Amino acid sequence: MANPKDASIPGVNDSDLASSVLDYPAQPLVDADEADRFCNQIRRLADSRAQSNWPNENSGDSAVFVMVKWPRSVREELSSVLGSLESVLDPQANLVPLFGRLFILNRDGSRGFVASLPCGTKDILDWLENNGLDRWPVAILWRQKERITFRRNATSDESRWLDVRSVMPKTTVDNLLKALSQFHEDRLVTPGSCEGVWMKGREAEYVPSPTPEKAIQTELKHSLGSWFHGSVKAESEDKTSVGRIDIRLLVRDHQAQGLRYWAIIELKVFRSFHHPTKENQTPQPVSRNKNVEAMRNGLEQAYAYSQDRNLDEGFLEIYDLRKDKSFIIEAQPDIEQYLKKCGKSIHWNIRPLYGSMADYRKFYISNA
Amino acid sequence: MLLEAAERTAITPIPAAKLHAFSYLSDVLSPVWNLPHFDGVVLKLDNGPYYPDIQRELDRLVVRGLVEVRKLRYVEGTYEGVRIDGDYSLNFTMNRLSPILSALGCESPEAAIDPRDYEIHCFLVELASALATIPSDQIHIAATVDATYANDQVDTSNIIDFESTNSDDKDLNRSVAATRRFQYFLPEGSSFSPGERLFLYATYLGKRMHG
Repeated sequence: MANPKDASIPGVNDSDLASSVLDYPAQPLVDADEADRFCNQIRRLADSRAQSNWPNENSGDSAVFVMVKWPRSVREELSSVLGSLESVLDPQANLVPLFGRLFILNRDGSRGFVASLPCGTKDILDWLENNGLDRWPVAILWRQKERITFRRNATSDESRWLDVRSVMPKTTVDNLLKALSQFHEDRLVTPGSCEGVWMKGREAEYVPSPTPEKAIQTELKHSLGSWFHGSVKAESEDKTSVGRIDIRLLVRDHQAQGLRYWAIIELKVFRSFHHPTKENQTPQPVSRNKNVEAMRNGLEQAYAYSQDRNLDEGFLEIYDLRKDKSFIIEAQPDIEQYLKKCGKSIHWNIRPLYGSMADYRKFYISNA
Repeated sequence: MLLEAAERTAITPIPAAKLHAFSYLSDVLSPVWNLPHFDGVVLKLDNGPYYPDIQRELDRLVVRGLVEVRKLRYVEGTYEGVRIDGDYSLNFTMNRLSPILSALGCESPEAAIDPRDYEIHCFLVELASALATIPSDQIHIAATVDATYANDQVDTSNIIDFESTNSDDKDLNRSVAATRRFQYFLPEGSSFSPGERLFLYATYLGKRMHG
């Protein structure tokens, strides 16, 4: 643990503080935006119910959860349409039946109101729009499919699928690699799901935003916090775009009464172009050497930090934003040398990103 | 703003005792969010914190129709005699409510008269969210086990002065010191954000209440 700068505080029991810290991984994703925070809480609710084999449940197959700004106000507005809405408090702890119901909740999914579903699930998005709830995040839980569909608002075309886990993934290397792969597939491989990676309107030209690493870092941090919710604290380090930007994953250390490092993930990006300083400017190309240097630095840093933190393994995730991905960076002599030195202890992956669905389909078909 | 934060967390209608407790905790914990104290002092009472100014303001807002009160009653106070109590909430039927809340910083810094008020609002909403993890009927008790309020060096019916310009003065504001102390249980290089510290502190208060 960190060296204590001060002695303990009069009247404050350190063991109570330590015990609170051990509870930390069960907290909401406090630093995520409200929509992601809400989505994660619904996922936690669904996961915990699936793990107990859906106790105390109705016969329906779906449940709808809507996050609103003022739940009580929405209850008053909807009472003429839905009749009386029951108060709901901590659905997770109180085993509130979920299926066949519509929940109007706060951003942590912990309090609000519930009524029977007013229509079939396939019509619910229209119903939400017709009743003034279209601009709020909505999650639909499907029991048979064991999935959640999440939309940042009911009228959005973009939806996200999340699996409901009847067995929570343990904090293992394999599960972390799975989580990293899933994140790439769900959020990055084609443009649109993760804002801030590409320059708006110029994705098909493979022009990156000013700081794609930062956008990916933030999303990945929350994604891992959600994937391993209840077990892991995911935190990110904010440095300048040159140099390390990494994600730290911490887990409970019951012996030392606190949290300890489990994994460090270095993030790097390959680019074809620099972000242009003016909107319609032709972007300057990035040399092959620059991208080779990015991978070399990433391997060095992942190795050094994992050694420094006494971790058995480090992780390097490289997101390939290049238009032409044919130059095999990992086969360059420099890189091969590093891989020989530290390759066994570094789990590295190069994840391709495509600036358009058409390019992704071309890749997919040619590799099928 | 306190009531608006309480509405967002769906802990309304909120009894006066809990609103005063929320007000106290927001005051004592404001440095966690790098905000100055709102008052920096509170009168220590057996039943928990009570702010006559806030109560007067609430009553004025009821008269103006911006706030609703239910279950109006009189309660015996230790120091201040008989006072009005009730369950308070915003009156959403008032058209003036939304523009007033926007001007107070409850929507965005751009819409606020003072953009800094938006930060205060963010803090209050996060604190309300953290306190919502404590059972509703125990939020006012949480204030009494707060590290600063529970300081046994200050007797009941005395003033607790927790405003300190010295950020290292942990004895003055033990609550904020406790939130900083969570860092001790993390490995080097790791840290908790202000929001995380608020949630951890609410967890700590819950443990203090249940022994």
